[in-house]
Amino acid sequence: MSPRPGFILDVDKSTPPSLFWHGEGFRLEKLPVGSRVIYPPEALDPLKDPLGTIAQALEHPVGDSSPLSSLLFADMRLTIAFDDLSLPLPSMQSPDIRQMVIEQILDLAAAKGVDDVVLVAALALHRRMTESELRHILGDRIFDSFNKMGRLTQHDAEDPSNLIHLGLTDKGEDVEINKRAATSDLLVYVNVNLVSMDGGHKSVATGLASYKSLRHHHNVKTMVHSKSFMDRHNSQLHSSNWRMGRLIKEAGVKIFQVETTLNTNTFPDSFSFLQKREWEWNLKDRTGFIAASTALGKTPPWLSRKILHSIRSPYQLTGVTAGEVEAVHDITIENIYKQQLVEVRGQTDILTMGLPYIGPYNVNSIMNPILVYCLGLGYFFNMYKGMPLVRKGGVLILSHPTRREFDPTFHPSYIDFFDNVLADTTDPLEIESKYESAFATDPWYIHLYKTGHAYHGVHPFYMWYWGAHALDHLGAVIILGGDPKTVHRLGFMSASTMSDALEMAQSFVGPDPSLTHLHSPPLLMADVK
Amino acid sequence: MKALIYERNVARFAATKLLGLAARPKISISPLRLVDIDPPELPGSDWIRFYPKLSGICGSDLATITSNSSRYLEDFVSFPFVLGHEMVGEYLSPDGLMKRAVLIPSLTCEVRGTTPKCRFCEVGQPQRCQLLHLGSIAPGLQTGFCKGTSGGWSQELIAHKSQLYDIPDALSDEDAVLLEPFACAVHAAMSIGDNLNTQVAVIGSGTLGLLTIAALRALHPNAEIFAAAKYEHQKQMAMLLGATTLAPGDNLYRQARTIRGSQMIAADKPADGFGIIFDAVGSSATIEQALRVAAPGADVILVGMPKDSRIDLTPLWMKEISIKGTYAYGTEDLEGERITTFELAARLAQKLPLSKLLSATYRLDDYEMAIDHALNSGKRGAVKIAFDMRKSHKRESWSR
Repeated sequence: MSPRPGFILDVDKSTPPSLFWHGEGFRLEKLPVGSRVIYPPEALDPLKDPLGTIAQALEHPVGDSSPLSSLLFADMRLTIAFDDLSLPLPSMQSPDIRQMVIEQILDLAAAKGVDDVVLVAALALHRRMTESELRHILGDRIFDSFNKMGRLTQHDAEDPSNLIHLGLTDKGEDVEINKRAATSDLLVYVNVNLVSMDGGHKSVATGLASYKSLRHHHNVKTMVHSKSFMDRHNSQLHSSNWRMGRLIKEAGVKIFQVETTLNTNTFPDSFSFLQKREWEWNLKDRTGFIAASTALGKTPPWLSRKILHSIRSPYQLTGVTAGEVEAVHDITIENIYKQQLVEVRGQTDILTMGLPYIGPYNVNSIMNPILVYCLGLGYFFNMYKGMPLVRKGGVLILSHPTRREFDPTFHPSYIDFFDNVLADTTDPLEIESKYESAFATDPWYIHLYKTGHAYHGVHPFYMWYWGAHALDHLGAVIILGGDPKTVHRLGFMSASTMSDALEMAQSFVGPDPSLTHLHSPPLLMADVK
Repeated sequence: MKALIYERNVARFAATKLLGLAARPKISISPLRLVDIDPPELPGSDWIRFYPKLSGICGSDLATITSNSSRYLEDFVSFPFVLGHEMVGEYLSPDGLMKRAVLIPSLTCEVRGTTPKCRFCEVGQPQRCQLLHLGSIAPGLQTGFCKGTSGGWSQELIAHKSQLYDIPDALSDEDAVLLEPFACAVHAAMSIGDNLNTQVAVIGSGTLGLLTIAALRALHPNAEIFAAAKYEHQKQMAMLLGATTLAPGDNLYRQARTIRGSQMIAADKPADGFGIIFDAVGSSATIEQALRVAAPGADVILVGMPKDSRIDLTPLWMKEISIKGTYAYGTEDLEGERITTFELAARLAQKLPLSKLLSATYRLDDYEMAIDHALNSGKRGAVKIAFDMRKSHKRESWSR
């Protein structure tokens, strides 16, 4: 039976409560009659022969690219860049798709006698990964072979000796990227395209860039005019990356792009209820839900986090495309939309969503309040094409405990951003003009980024800009079950129950509002007509 | 007259020390008692009778009641004494009118009639006087710690004429009762000179911390003042009185790093920090925190009365920090003008909302409740608690 497409449920009296993620736990919320619940399409059938499909993609590239094997030669400098652990979410069961692709690339390189091969994790300003995280992404064989020779590297955006300025785009944007990658005879980029924002020219132009380059698109103005940043053709974030990508190509950097897509088979069997629509839960699903929610509810957050972050997702491959960047990405986006797109008629007054324990920037770590903000107002709000799911001036209700908890190792500058910057203002433009430069150039944050496992000092600013479009669009944000003081610091309101939240929302949108619930997991993207 | 008297009672002192004094029922075991006694005799013609209207409860009073004050001070008090040294009250002037005044509680050479005066009193630095056992009255560093004078927690005491500071009409009783601690804060703020070119941290946002912020703001208008405040009402008051930035909880360590764009060696060990730190608490923990958030070469100024402390002084040595105490008030040099600290404090106070710090007042009869409130002021959203001798009714009143 082929997977069912996305579905919009009109809530009536007999509709069971809807599942909401609530950080390291869940909530079941009875939504008002007349509400809509958007369910994602079911997971697409996986490719039957992943390894064969990868080999096929490498030898039959799209666009104006030659087969990978013909681009390899004995004395060349080959750099293989790959996406970091921010994708996919949660981390996938071994072998990771990047390992599967890179192993085949290395086999082809070895067959051609290529010795000078360097792997680069495309971190941009993300944190350096730990050994175990790298081993998970690349597999032991690659890790052991390359790491001991110093040929497994993680991009350092603060290492001027390994950055090269390739020029300015026609809009005056600096293009400064990893020197080893840019000066190699061939740069192969291996990506995981979990959502439509990923991939394309963004892979190299962002993943291997410096702060000097990134600031041209990671800023408030660009983000407010990216409607949405999940929809490339309406995203200034992407327009900037595309300009940079084309300049990189014109500068002579030869890129062979490999993009992969996964289905939405996100959670293992023990969490099968997360993959199903509530009215279709069988006894096993109900038992699983009760067991999981009861156990997690009685477990301290740090332990719940540990348990949940140990989940490995059974994602399966739905597509591999290789070759010229733009041609590859067009196919990738088709694959993503096939899996995630749901057509929705009309906007809503109130949009509700549950936020999970994990987002791109807290793998193996704490979802701190700024990341809660980013996940809700940045990622989930922007999961649309056409127009936002919620109308201008509407209300967003997020479900998350939103505790004032931070990981000082991974997110040191977030703590100061929360305590000092947000205590002063939550206005993205003011934050950008008043504080960004000091955080971006702070020597301690740079030290921790370069030598520890810390996100760059400027990263919390990017998180705040990520939500700038939503802030500009929404009338109010309410965090259901959020710690009131912490939520207040974010500039939002907290409510302890859904009925309180709805009552508060009505003071912004008026009586008898329409309500839409974005059901997740798995991920979906609304095509709002 | 009614008075709250503190007696030398080893058993009660030990019991209080042993049990601690966190809750009201235990106040009854302390050596503090409400008694009916005769007013003290005037020791000379320069002395007059003073009638307190409002009398504050200070941290040093609480340290005494809870048996937590330093044994160093034992030779500078005489038992039994009536507590209370922060007060506004009235006295009969020679022209037969009742005048409002704040009492300057220091019992130094001039007050004691000691001749010749000590070298500090001679040059207008009575706060440094150590001859607090000589002269016409019993030993005692201040009114409120001296057997012969009575104290502010009573209906009547005696004061030397030099102790009277007539207050302008612009200051209400509620403002004026805070003038004595404010003068302490002004003296502390004056101790750093007038070339303030560094960031300042104030640890503690009780009465003295908040008043130090106010004094710093008034005397150093461009100062960047970081306030470490625990409770919400303290944060609001710190900002109202002139703090630039709030540093909640452990954040002071991170602030110390951030202001200099420096590094953190460990979570509580910034590599650089504040140039001047005022510790308005005086506990081991806050003094250690001050030393840790201090920049190399910084000055740490102890405004609050320190307790018996066990402190790791390694950062003081390693960072070449200077630690300095400031006590009470004397004479200040303000842009070439010699002025008493009290006069300067009174001038500044007229532009400040000091009375907002007075959170509650109690009758002497309700002293257990009053002291309990003062001991738990932070938790209970209060700053300064005072006794109100104007009151005849029983229930507490709130000024805010």
